[in-house]
Amino acid sequence: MGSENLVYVFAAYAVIWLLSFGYLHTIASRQKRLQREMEALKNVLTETNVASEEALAIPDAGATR
Amino acid sequence: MNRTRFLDSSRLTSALFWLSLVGIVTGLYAAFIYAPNEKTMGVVYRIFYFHVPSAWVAFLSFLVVFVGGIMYLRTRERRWDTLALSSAEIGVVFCAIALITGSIWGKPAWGTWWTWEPRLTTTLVLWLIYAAYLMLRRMIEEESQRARVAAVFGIVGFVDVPIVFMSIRWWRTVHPIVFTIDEIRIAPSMLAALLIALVAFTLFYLYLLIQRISLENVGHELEALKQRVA
Repeated sequence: MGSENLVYVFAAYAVIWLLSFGYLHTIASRQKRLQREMEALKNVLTETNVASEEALAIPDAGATR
Repeated sequence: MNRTRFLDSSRLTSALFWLSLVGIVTGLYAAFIYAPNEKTMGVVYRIFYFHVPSAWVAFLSFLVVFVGGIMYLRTRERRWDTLALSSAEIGVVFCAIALITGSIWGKPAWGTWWTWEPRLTTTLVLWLIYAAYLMLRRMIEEESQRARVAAVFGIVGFVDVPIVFMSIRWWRTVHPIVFTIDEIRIAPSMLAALLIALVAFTLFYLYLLIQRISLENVGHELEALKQRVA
C-alpha cells in the first residue's frame, strides 16, 4: 500500500481536528452566550434594585418637607 | 475547596491548553516524520497514532462518568453530576472520532468502510449508550431525578468499556492487537509516537473537561439568577 492512500490519512486527520476543535468551539460559543445572558440579567437586577430603592426613598423625602 | 464545584483555576486551564497544543504538534511530528512507514499497510498506518488516543480519551471519559455517577449516588452533591455530564459529552465526541477514523482506516486496510466484527460493533454500542445518556438527561426536567437516573445509566453503561477492550482478545476479529501481556507489537519509534499522542490527548481531555464544567457552572449560576429575577 503506497502513497495513493494519503487521501485516507488526510480524511482521518481532518475528522480528528474538525470534531475535537469544533467541539471546543461550541463550548466557547455556549460560554459566551451564557455570559451575555448573565450580564443582561445582572443589569435587570441592578435596575430593579435601584428602582425599588427610589420607591422606598419617596415617602422619606415627603416626610422631611 | 469549593464544595459545589471543582477545577476552576484559570492558570491551570491555560497551562493545560498550551501543554496539550505543544503535545499535539509534537505528536504530529512524531507520527508523520519520526515514525517509519509500517511494512504492510504503509502510509495509512499513520492514522493509528491519533486513532488510538481518541479511543483512549473515550474510555477515560466514560470511566470518569462511572466514578462521577458513583460519587453522586453516595454524596448527592451536584458537582459529581456536573463532572459526569461534562465527561460523557467529551467521551461521545472522541468515541465518534475513533469510530470514524477507524472506518476510514478500514477501507484501504480491509477493503470495506464497515464490518460487523466484535471491536467495531461493541464500540458502536458504546457510542450509542452514551449518546442515549445525553438524550436521557434532556428528557428529565427535575434536577435531582435527572442526576440520579443519569448516574445509574452511566454506571451500568460503563460495563461495555471492558467488553470493547477485551473484544479483540475474546473473539475472532480482523482488528489488530498491538498490546498483549507479554509484548508490544510495534517498533520503539512507533510506540514513542503513540505515547506522545496519548499524553497530548489526555491533557487535551483535561482541558476540555475543565471548560465544559465551567460552562455547566455558569449555566447553574444563570438559573439561580433567573429565579431571583422571577
